[in-house]
Amino acid sequence: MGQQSIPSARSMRILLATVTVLIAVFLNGCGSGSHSIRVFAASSLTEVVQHLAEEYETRYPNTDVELNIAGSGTLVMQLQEGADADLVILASRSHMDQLRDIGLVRAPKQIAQNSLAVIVSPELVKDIGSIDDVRRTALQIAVCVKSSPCGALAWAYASSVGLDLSSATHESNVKAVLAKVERDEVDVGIVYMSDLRTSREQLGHLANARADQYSTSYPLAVTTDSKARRAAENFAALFAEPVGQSALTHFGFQLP
Amino acid sequence: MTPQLPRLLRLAAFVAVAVVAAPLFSLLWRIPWSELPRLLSTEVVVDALFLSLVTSLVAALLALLIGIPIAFQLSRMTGISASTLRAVATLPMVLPPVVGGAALLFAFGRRGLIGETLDNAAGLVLPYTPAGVVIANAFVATPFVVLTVESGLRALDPRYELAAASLGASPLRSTLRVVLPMIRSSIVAGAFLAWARALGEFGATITFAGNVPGRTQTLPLAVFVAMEADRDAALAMSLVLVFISLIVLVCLRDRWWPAK
Repeated sequence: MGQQSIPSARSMRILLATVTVLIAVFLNGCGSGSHSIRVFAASSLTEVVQHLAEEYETRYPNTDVELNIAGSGTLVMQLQEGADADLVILASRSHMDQLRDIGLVRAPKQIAQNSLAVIVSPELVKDIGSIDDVRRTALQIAVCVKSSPCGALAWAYASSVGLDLSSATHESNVKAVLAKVERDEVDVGIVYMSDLRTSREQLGHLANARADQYSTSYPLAVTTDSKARRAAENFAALFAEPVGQSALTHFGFQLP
Repeated sequence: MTPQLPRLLRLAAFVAVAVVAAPLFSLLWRIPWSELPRLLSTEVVVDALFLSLVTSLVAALLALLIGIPIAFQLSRMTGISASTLRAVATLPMVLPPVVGGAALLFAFGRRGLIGETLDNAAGLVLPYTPAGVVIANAFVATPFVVLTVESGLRALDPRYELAAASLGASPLRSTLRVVLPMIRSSIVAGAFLAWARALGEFGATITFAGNVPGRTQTLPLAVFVAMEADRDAALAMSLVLVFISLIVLVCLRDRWWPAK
């Protein structure tokens, strides 16, 4: 029993050699070859930036686009702690201002707008038709964390219509809220119009809930110490071209 | 006299300790010490701390309740069946907690295998409730009880039980009166490890029980949220978690690894 569990010297040597080769291959792969740019984008932009990344890679086959997609709050935190990015696109001006104020980005440009939508899980589409139904019934609601752009909007909206969010679950980004409503893990969610548009599920939308009056704008900026400034600017330029504009409107965003 | 270690090994150990301690030291270095009382007395923190303490304690008890019978069964098994059962019972220990949370969702979620029945039959919904947090915590904590109690049982000389039986004690009586008292320190160690693991649980909790402040937002979840919203509050809460975990491990030293 004890003998069995001790690997022989030979197998240890083979293991060591394999690990060494793997590390060498890995380091080599990272260091050489094509260029890459790193794009940090807010979760709500997932589909748009994925689409534009493909477009970019067909135009510039030697450049890889690395996407880091997360809630705007998470991205700001990562950048404050020194994360390496070339291009940053967030879901609110105030989040971008935090980065600008400490000199991480310069001259943000607005590329799109988005507004809120109150959505209902596929199972409850028939039962819940208005925000009054939501207020009356003890439903499980999901919203974004308060520190995120969609959370800030959702709380402002909820207080304006007297919606109680005290037992709502706080998700770290808007796609997590969407997924919970889609899977019927919660009854109601507050997301963006673009999320409603991109969802493949038969979600309910409380169109008369006036949530669309709450909107946010999406600023884009190249980072101050980007080592691929030209490439990042080329990527940014896509948003102003027809390919970017049609992607934005196709996925439910409004143009500024 | 203790045999001397090679100098190279001592050097390697020194470097290794530095590597392990560096993040911890960096955390302490960032703590806004003078702000601590204010940061730790906000409603969010107090709620999260209270919820964490209650749910982790209940989860540790639940882990004992589930883990001890498994350990007893395992201690009498050998070969492939023992390895298989042990692997299944301790899987949550190495499984990514988020996978555990997803598995719990598929079992006890509102549309889960068991959860849907519970909901329809008794109106019992576990996600987004403190009970859901307890389930998630117990799920990841039970393996610690299984492993420590099983190793305690295996180290026990079977002659004590045989003697009890020969003196006319039933299996139940000898288990309760002879075996359990003799493995008490293993049970205590298992309970403390389970409690510490439950207290630090994050992935399974946020996946299965959600993140509802005051109901399912435990201290680790509150740290996660505060990392983006209020960094100083996140650091203050992290300090509490580090402090409690260290105390548990220091107290456990002699129980977990038999003292000399």
